[in-house]
Amino acid sequence: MIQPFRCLLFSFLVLILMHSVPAQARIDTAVLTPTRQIQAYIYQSADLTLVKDTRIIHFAGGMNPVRFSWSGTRIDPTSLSFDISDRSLPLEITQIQFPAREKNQAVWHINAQAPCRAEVVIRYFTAGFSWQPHYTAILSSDQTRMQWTGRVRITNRSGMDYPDARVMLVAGEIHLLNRIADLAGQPFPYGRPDTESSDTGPTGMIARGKAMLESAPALMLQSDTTGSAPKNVDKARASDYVVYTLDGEKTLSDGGSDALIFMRAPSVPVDTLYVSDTSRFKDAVIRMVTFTNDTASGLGSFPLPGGIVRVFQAIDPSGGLVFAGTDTTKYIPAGSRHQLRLGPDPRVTVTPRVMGYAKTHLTFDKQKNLSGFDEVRTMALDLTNFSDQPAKIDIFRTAPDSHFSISGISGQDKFEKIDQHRFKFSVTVPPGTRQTIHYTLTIHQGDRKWQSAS
Amino acid sequence: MAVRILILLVLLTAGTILPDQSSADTRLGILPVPEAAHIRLSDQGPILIQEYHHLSFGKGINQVAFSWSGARLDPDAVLLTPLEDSESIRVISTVFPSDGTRLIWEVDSQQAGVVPVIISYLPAGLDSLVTYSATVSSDETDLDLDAHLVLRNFSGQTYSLATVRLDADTMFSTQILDRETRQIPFSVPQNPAVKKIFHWDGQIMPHDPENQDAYPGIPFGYRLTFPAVDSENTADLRAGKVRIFLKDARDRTLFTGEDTLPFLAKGDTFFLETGRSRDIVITKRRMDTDETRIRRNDKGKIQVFDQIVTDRYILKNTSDTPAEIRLIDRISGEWKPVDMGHGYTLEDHETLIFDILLGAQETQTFDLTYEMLNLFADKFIQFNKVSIQ
Repeated sequence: MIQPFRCLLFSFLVLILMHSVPAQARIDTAVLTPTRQIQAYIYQSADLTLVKDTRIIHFAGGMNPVRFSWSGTRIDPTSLSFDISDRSLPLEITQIQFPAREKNQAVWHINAQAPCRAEVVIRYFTAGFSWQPHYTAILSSDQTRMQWTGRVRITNRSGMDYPDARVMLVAGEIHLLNRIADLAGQPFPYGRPDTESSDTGPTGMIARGKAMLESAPALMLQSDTTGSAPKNVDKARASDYVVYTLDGEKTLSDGGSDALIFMRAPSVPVDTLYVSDTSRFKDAVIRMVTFTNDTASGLGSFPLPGGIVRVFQAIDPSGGLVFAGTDTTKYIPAGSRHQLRLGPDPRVTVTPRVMGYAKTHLTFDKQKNLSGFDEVRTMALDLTNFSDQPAKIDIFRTAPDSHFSISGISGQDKFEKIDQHRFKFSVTVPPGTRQTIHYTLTIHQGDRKWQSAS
Repeated sequence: MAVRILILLVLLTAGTILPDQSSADTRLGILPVPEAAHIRLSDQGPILIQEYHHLSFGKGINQVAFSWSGARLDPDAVLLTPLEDSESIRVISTVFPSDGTRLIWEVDSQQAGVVPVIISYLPAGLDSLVTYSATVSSDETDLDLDAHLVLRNFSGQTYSLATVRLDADTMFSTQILDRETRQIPFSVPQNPAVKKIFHWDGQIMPHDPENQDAYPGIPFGYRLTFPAVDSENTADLRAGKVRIFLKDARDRTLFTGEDTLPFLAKGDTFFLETGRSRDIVITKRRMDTDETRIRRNDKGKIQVFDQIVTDRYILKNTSDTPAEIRLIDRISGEWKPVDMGHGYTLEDHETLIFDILLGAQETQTFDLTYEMLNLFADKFIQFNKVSIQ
């Protein structure tokens, strides 16, 4: 495939742009300034990367036009910013010009009261980067501990290579008004006032953004450094965001992706819990592995970004494993308990049975028509555990409406009313045994709803 | 296509009848070059261009032709205003030729001489936007606001040296070509009072977030109050997009989100949403609903009843910093409190606002018990909710 021409040009114009020449003609001479450092803040929650490009420029006295141009990449021109690191220098940014009939180009007009050398930082948003955590959990054979490894896969489809970049991964939800890919694809940096309902309107922008994504180079896995020495990843909180800073510098090649280990916890205490909840899982009993994201578990004091978790279980001391299931976790706050859903386990079952049924408290209106009654079900929940470990089971049930009562409960370790519709039994069933929970559920129907209330 | 706006001063003698514009004609006139052009921006309306000229008038009736091509103008909004001696220089009529691309003023001058005038018009395709960049301090108690005016010129006309007037106090000179966009910094009030707030609205937020596969988090941002009237460095803020950055403890600058600032009058307050937090989890559960005071008709059919409701709110902060939470929920219809487990203010008859300070890694739970009154069971059930008349 022929690669489109992609480049970033950052030039300090020695000659003033010849704007007196109409239309497309332009002659200029430029001094290209090399990059000193690139920093890339790649966001997880949106297709957005904040790039900071640090350079050194020698300014002449008077007005200095500084041109920045790009092609084949997805820079949002409305995000362009030019910062002078040393604010005490005699430099003033008077304006940014997006020249007529020049696409993907910006010119800063910088007035220097005296010649000087300055470090400047060009800041912009670009689309096309992403990062996604992938976790691997290996359960011990007794299911009381797990080895937890987090990898992060960084993918660059921005159209640009970023060599030797400092890479920061930002976790947290940001509020965006426009997609960066849409802004990057606009024919004019801020649109144009008289056609906003057509080519720069939301529909057109989305269509262009989609077209751009579809035309983007296919994902190419250049390297997966899973087995190589992990880079150290430094974590820091900033407001409600977490910033993961990769150690050293890294080249982010367009079309490539890398997987880097960013955390490891060798022995995280876990509980295995079985959950029966007909409103969520129908008749299946789902096996969950629960753990706490905290320092005591070895996971540290930071939230875990959401990602795919693949869970394996050790079956022998020589490293034999079986695949136990996969789950996609959402963001796990620090200190919170989390459940990994591994799927149904046929060795643990919950079977509800109606052991008795009666209609009581029949009521009649003034015309002797039936107006209400109570349905009384004597329920049995048969629990079986054919596994070789004790099974902690949570059984959630949802009543059809709030007019019900429960009595005669036996066989459970704990009963809890969650809200006006839901209740929960908790029980631990020893390995290779059966157990039954009994209770009586009375549901008030018709006028009985009102009579029981009044 | 050539684009131009031309002013042609044609000297005619008093009493001359205007030529028939539909027929061919030849004219000779002076093309005065504007000495200055002002681009005047307004909060809401279109941009007004004002060009300053010195026109030479002869005694009597003078014709000043104003024409345009490749540009769109409202011909009824083109004005010629003499700046001096308004008694002796008067615009007595405006002629709109049928081609729709020019107009001719008839100016009656009591004496010959050079007169300063302003030509004002409203070009289409020229407008302005305001964008802001807000940088929040690492402790999230201060905010620096940078403002940029974005001037977009797709009018077909080039303004080679124009004075842009944003308001009475803010002006600058620039040139702007056709199809060009320029972004110019300007100063805005600083040092707003800043308070970080988490915003949970029961009408739009999930009530059981921990059991949701995709929990978006609670919106948070900064409540800004800019200095009020009569204080120094105060001004209204124009509407525009705000991009919010945060300085972290290592002096790095992160982008944290963007929001739209509406027009904000000085002294007013605005909540600038920047992102969503998943470290604050708020769960609402309906714990109980009991019907009381059931009233029936002679046939025993329920007509009216009351309902005692208990809702439980569980607020969990998993982060290591305290959080100020504004919790908003609604109880629609006629109701009265029974046992409200937390103080609140009523925004209107149904909207309750709870301001809650949640400590680091703290969980708070409170119940609201209230009585819904006179709920209609059969007829008039639409009156169980309150509509705005």
